[in-house]
Amino acid sequence: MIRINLLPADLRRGNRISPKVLAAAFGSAIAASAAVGWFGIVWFGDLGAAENKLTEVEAKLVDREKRVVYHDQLQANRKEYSGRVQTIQDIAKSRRLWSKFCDELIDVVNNNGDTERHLAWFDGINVKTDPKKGATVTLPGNVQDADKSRIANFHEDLEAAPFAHELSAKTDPNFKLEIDKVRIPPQSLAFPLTLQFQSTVDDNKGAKKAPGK
Amino acid sequence: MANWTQKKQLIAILGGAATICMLAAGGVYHAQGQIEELTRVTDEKQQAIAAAETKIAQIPNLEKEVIILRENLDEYVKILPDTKELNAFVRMLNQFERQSGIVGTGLIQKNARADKSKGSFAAIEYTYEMTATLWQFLKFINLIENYERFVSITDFSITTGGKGKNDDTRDGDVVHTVRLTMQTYTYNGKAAGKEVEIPDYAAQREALREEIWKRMQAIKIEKYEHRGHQGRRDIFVDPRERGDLRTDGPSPAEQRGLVDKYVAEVGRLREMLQRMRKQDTTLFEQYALEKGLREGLEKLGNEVSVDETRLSYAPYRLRWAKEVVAPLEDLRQQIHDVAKAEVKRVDPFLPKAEMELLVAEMARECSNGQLEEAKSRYDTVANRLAVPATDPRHELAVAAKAWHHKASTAIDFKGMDLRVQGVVVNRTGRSGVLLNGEVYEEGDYISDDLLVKMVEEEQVWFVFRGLTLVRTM
Repeated sequence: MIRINLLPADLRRGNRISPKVLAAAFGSAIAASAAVGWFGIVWFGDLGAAENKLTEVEAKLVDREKRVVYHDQLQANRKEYSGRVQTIQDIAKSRRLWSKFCDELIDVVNNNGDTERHLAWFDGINVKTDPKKGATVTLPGNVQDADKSRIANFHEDLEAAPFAHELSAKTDPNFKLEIDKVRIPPQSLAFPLTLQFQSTVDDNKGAKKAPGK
Repeated sequence: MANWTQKKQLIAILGGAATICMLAAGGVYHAQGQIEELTRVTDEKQQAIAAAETKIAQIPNLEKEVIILRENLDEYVKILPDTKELNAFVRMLNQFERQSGIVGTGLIQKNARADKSKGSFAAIEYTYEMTATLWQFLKFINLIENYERFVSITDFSITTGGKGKNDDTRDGDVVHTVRLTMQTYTYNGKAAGKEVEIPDYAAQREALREEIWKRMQAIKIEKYEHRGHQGRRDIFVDPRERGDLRTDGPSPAEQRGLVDKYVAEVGRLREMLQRMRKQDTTLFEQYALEKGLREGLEKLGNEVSVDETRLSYAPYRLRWAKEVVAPLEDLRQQIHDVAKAEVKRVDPFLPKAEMELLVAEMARECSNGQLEEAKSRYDTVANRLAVPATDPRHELAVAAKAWHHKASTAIDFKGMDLRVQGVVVNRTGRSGVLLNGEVYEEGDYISDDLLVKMVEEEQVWFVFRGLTLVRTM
């Protein structure tokens, strides 16, 4: 006898999907969906957010950069102006006010009109400035009379003068008696005098360097 | 697939699912890598933003600093100008020459201008030759040192001109030969960068006005005010007398005596001033001292101007200037200040106690015949006795004035030429007096304000300006 099975093929006992396959298919579907979902979240979520953040930060940076350029220009201006001021100050520090020195020297020589302590005068003056060694002042001088203590008095007064603390060296007292019969009194003690001033230039940074700045 | 065995089906399903999962995992891995890269870049950019913000935060201070510096730029330009200003510098030297009185004989520029291209600042040296007295030279270098442009005097020499008896002089001072080297700098403005444009500049500058001014003071270069001659002698001239030159004036010893005399007189006036200021000095003494001081100053001032010309010995001129002329001027100033302080006093009149003392002292002095003292006591305070009638001191002021009138009248009477040569005393009628060769009887007027009141054997009574006075024989 011929048996005819009228049930659709997939419902026929022998052709039905086995529960194992079904479970595997179901599990695979879930796993695949989860994997695709994860990818979607990462790709469109995290990566998108990172891209957006970068765009935002870049825009912010572009905005700041305009101000930074302005800052750098200001900085350059300040540097240039400050450099100029510094140079002026360096040059200024290297200067000695000779009118002040001369006034102080005249005071020492005049000694408030006291001619008993010493009565001195000079035959001339020669000032030479060396930026490294300092200024050298050469003053060949004389004191009236043959009293040797006057030479000592004069040197003492020079050592107490306001400019004395700027000196690095000074000639010690020595003299030679001179007679000028035309003068009253004829005797005088001639003496050499050299004042060596300290250098006004600080180490390697000074006026002579300044122009090269 | 329907014909596939179960095993095949399972392999296909699981294989497909595994492939999808692996692809997804690969995609995620790739995405993570990209995210990490993007995060790194973002972090870098954020660091750059942080750095930029730090810089941006500095902008207000920088702007302030740049505005201050830029506003002071004019000052810097004055100190170290560009090359164009060199012509102005030479012109300025000419002006200083005129101001100081030196005579310039040469100006030589020492170094070449090409050197200045080496940097922003270039040194320039000038050597200036001149003839000048010591004071002219000092004034000249002081003007240079105080010039708005930075100039440094590096070398100089003075060759004294005071060696012979026919020295060249200007205003009595010996002329020397001077050679000096000046150094200045120019600023090469081309080396400077572009000036940045600061928004709202004018308003910010206005707000920083004080700071700009302060900073301008800080860049000022040290200066010195030369004190001038001040009676000091030229240190490059032999001060000793020349035996071959005879002068008509006093000798150095006499000149020293002259200075000593004036120094002593100034000392006396100073002492008067000190006494005047002492707490225990009465007001009358103060006024008397002030009067004496004023008179002394006037007298001494006149004498000083005459004797000043007699001082020819240089070493004494400084003492004269310091110990006579300057203290006299100081005393004058102090007296002037005292007068000014008096004007400022709230009560312009003499205090009551002082007025009572004045009246008592004047009465005592008039009674003792010290008329001059009484008059002078009143005169010293006269300007403080004009008390109004409403003031309780008015009575005392009137009494003082009455004593002053009496003393003045008596002094005037004393000074009159009244020679009593004889008297005729008539007990029953009018007696008479022979006065300066003329006979006057009692009641007769000798002049408009002088009347013979009574004649006695040894004295004659007169009425002078309403006051009865007696002249004894």
